Amino acid sequence: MRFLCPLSITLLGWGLAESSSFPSTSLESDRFTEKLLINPLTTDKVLAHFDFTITSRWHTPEGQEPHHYRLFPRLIGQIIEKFGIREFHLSIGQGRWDYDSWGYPVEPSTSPSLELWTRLETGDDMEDRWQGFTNALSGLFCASLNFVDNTTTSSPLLSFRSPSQLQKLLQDKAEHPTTPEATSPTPSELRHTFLAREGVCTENLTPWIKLLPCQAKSGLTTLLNTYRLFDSSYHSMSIHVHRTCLGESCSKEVWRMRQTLTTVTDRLRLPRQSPALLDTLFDRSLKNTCPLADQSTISVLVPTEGNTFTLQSKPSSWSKAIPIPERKVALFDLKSLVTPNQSFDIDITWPNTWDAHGLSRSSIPLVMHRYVTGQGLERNGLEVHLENRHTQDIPVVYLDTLPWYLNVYFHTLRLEAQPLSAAQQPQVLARANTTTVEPTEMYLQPSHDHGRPAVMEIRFTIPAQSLVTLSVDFDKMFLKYTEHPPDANRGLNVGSAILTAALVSPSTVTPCDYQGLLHPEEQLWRHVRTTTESATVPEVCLTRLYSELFLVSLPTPDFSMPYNVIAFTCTVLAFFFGSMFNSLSRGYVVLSREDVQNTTESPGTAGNTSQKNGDTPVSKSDQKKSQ
Amino acid sequence: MASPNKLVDHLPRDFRKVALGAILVRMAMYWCLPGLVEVLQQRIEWVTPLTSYKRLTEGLFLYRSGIDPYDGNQYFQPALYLPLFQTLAWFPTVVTFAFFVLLDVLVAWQLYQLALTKFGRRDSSSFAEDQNLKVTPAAVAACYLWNPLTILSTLSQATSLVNTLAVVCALRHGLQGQRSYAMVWLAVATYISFYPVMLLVPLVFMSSGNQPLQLGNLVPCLKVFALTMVTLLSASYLLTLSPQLLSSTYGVIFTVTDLTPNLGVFWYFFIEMFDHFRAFFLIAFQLHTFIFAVPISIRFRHQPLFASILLLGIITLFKSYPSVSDMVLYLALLPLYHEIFKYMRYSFLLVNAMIYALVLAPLFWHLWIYQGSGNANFFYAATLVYAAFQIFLIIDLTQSQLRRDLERDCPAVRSKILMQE
Repeated sequence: MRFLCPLSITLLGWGLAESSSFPSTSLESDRFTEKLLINPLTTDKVLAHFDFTITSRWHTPEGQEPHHYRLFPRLIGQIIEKFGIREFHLSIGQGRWDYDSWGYPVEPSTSPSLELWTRLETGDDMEDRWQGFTNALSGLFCASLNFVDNTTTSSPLLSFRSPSQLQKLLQDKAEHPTTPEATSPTPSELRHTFLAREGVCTENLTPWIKLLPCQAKSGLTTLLNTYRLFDSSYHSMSIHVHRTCLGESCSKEVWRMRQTLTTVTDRLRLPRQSPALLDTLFDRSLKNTCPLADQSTISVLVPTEGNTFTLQSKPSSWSKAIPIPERKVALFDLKSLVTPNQSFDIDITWPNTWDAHGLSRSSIPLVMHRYVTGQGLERNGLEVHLENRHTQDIPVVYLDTLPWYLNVYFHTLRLEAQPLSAAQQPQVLARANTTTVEPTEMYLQPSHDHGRPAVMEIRFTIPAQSLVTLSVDFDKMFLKYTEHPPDANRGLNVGSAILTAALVSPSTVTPCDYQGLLHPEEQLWRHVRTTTESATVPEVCLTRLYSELFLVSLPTPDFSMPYNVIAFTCTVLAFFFGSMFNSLSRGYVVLSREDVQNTTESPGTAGNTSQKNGDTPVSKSDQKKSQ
Repeated sequence: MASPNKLVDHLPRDFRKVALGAILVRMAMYWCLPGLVEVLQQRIEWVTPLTSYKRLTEGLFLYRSGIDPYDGNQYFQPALYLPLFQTLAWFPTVVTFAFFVLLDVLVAWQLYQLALTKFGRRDSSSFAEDQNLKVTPAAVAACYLWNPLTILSTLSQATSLVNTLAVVCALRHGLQGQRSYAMVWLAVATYISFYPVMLLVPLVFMSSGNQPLQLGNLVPCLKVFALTMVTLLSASYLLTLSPQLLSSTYGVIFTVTDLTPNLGVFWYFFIEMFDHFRAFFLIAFQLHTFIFAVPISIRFRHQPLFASILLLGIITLFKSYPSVSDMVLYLALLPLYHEIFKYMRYSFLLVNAMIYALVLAPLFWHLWIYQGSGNANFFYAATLVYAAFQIFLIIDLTQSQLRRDLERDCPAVRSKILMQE
């Protein structure tokens, strides 16, 4: 798979930022912007999203200019150069993103674990470079990335293609060749990994902050109060590094590094309730901005519903560029608003009775949930519910990576659709409405023992207003006693499934909307929401949905038994060997009476005579007859 | 070419009765108890990773999808099963089951022929009073077909049935002196599960009419055997073009990479084994199995069929992935030697131990895997009982045959208690 650079179309929320129209001065130097986006999601949950972006031309494709790091962190620059990285996206999160009531996130990756995906330049030593790269990141972010190996790494063929290709792919009915993309000048290959058991902590955040030009000394980073960040319902930090190009003809290629941090805080649970928004959320207030930042803004999405939210601080402007459903956007330009020696805050009145319990379910077009079915430790299955509440069909790519210790039976893969109305009905009635969904394209990779994971990537269309159930069976494998984790009965985590979908004119806030708000100067997506009725091109937002993790408890042996088992089994073997050897090497002979007397009297051969397993000694009368 | 009707008419009347009833029972159970079939298809006592029909279906699916079936963790069965079962998969599923029933009947027919040949011979080893024991060839066939374990084994659709047929065919042709056929069938059995290679020497003895082993007998046999093996393996390779062909079939048999529990002695031992001793014990365990081929063949060179039965018992006991289906095969061969039953000393104990093991194994499995109130040791204990039962059976059979040999040599000592030296 190749990196895509020179196309001017781009899709947001996608990590791949492409053509942009910077001021011409920015071509010559690094550029840094810091932004904070605040959006009340429900009565109690508030989303706060930090976005720090550095655009740098420290490296040109020709490699003619000497390397000069200004704002772009040298640590990252050296790593990507050494290991031939064209693009990488790392996110570490904790908590479950509740799609059903919170809508879609700002950054698509909501996996409550560690996710890393990378494009490596194709070459001979790719495996070594991948290992080296993960180890380097592991050291850099104090994460357990050194545990990434071939058992957790996969190379999906469809899900992580470049946005333009994905768009084509999803709107096409035909099968697509799996060959690497042919347009990119240097071919690259994709590596994707989940570390499902990674916990996030301040030790990950500290090195993450250190990459920023102002670190935690001034600007929006001073709001990053670890006590509050890690005390939230959901938090996720990520870093995205990729190339992008500037100018109309994509003449200049630059590197862009985006660091984002998303938290969803339970406002009502916080100790202090004051109108000061930043003070409430972060227990900090803003005293200055980062002097190195070209732009420093806070956007507050004020719910329009019932006009119960009132913003007391006067924003610099009300953004009209991107209409967002049920929200109006207040922009605060910190460069002009924050004055030294005076702390800045945004005053907002929270309504006492805002009865919004999240977004209305029907406005969220696509939701995915994944369950483990079956009971016992032997045979189980996966069931994935994909609910399309939209009035249009949604083309999707489903990607699931299952570790080798789950033996997946691909022949049991079923894709069945039933209308949403029928899903509420009793089982019998619902079954009658079930139809099979034919996948357009399917890539299956069986797992290897102690090796690569099983990967299934399925492209299909979810019919409008229906529930698609994807199910597959798997067996749990029996591991050696040394292969179980120390807390074996807790089980092993399995990473999220990823659903890549093209949402057509969704009526809710999408990652594309959020990104449009954060980076309005970049024409990053083709599907700008238009207020005019005359818009003919349907707005499409490509996004990825992440399912829940799941825990598999594998059948465990008795960990205290090795010596006993070795002793028992070897006894059985030895018993058989001894008895068989005895039977085969010795035979029956007829003895005379004298022989019998001799053998019983002589002490040295007594053992031989008693060998006749449990038989009574030879009686004299028998011996007489036998003579 | 005879029409099917004519073919059936050619079958002896007694065999026809036995077989027809067996077919009806199997089909009736298949139709009436689909739940039982589904359960049996995945019971670890009946199917192993190497004989599982579900895994075969998975292999077929991958093969049809253009994915190398051996390039995964699921399919460890011979490559030639793929075209065979793919052909069957064109028809409704009942046809596949009917194929298994047909295999069962063929096994029974071979047993019938085997019994006919053996009972027909009046050699030095038969006594006058043996004639009083009325065991007809049809009874031998019925012992196989009507054994409840066989019926359940057929219902489980374990592909080891093909292996059973190949072994029985090899024995039958061996006993009838058709050397080439015997070797071809032995090669097929070896191709499927490898362990039957242990029967090579007894079969050479058998097919060369109990003459002493000479190079002149051995070389043509080996030639046929090797040629068939090479043909089968190269056909497999051409069919799949898989580099993992050998490592995913024989590799799994030898190195026991899939540690799914079964009734054998390998799984728990190698789950619990220390990593640095694994290779040593693997070699020791496998050698321990194969090593018996030589002494048993030599000791029972005058009764190569009996040697084969003993070796089949040892294979069932010590192969890396045994199942009840393997035991069914050598239990079916035992009635051929009904004359030694009276010498067996542990019959009561054996029957009880077998019932005990076969009842306890599913029970303990349930406690461990589903109930959570037992642990792996429970099931392991049941497999130990099962192993002990088989050990006693094999030892007892050996002793009985030796005792009978003595009585043949010295008719005066019949029915006397003897000592062994």
